[in-house]
Amino acid sequence: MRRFLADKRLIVLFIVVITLVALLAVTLKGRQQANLAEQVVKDVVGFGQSVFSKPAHFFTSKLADIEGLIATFDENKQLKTRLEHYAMNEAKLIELESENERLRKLVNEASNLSAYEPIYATVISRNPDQWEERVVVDKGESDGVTKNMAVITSQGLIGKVVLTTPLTATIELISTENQLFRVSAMVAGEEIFGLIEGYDKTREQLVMKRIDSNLEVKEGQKIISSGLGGIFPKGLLIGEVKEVSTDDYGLTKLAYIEPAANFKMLDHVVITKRSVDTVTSSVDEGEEEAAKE
Amino acid sequence: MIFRILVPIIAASLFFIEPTFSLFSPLQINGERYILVPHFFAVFLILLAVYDSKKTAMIYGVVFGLLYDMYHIDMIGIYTFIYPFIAYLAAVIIKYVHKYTVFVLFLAIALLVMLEVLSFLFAAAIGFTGMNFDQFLHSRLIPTTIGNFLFIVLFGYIIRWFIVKRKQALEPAM
Repeated sequence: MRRFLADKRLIVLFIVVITLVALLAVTLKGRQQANLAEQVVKDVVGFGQSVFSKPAHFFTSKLADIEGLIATFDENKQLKTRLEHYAMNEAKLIELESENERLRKLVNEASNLSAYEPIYATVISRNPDQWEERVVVDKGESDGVTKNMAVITSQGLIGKVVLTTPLTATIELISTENQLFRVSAMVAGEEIFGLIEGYDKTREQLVMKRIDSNLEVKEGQKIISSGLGGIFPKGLLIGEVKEVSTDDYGLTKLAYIEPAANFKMLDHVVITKRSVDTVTSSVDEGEEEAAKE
Repeated sequence: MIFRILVPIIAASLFFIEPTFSLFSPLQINGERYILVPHFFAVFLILLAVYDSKKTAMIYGVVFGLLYDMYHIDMIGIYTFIYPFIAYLAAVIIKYVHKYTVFVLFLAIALLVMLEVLSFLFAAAIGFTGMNFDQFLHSRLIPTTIGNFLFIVLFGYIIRWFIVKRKQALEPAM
């Protein structure tokens, strides 16, 4: 041990540790943009990553196909009963959509908060140490992806874009413990607004806060994004209310929401590019204003 | 000669397979959530430090640690430190014990546990996680250790074979 201390290796060790701490400090702050070196590394590693993960997705989808095949008979019975409702609903939907458009023209309102352009992407990796709930997808700036876009699957909202490079985008999932990840939400069909703020890891449910205590929220109601935060389009399904209680101060209501989307085994996702001008603010948690109404 | 190319390819493959594997995690068994963290590259690094040289292992550690930090965490300095550090420890400790398979296995497991604890400390310090140590132990450390133990048992021997072959191929030239 004494020989080790006498060694100049100790000095080298010190320098290395100081350099690393300095690097950590520089990169720790929530930066708006990755620098050039990082972008190049991300794109190159991302390319290698997709070479490995695309075959993996292929195999898992084949496995899912086989599983699906086994359950076919039961599912078929269920689906047949649903199908009748579906045809009815579809006819209704078409009628409502055309009516909506007609009314929109009537009031001269061209912009629609719900409208968005989908960008289809494939998940190529998930942060292996899993402290942060992050995934990387294979579409980036060159496909029109920008920061803060909402990301959905066919089931519902899963997260938002936090970092982009020319060929990749990093998505923070809504199941993150990050308290600054907020989504302005509303109860579908009613004028009840709130803010999705945080995720309860033990219950595995999202927490919707700051709901006006005079308003009645019931279990089983669907929660959608409100589009009022200026970033996410309106009407993306977030989940279903499981329990309603009051917050710590008893001033507002708080609801636990079962997420509609499954965060495990993500493969194909849709990045939503809002058609209405998105509010460009330097604060990326700009979704607060909706709840304060 | 071919082993000189194969070993870096194995390193890169393990590095790329890790995030693909973590797409399957967390596992849900009987309503309990278990987080399995693949540490395939760290296993490779430990074996490299044991059967090759400290220097080689530390260089691999720095390079891939840097890539890891830049690609996955967007914060440089965590794995850039942890990877060379465990490579260094592995190389130093193995000098004092025999390179019996059982000892190497035990050393690798011990270092992986240390790696996990270090990464937990970093995550807790930076505020990535609100987990306390008990939760960490139960839902993350134990499943991760078991998972990686299986990986070492299944593939450790093959990785060792490649590393030893590469060393033999390099030696006459040196």
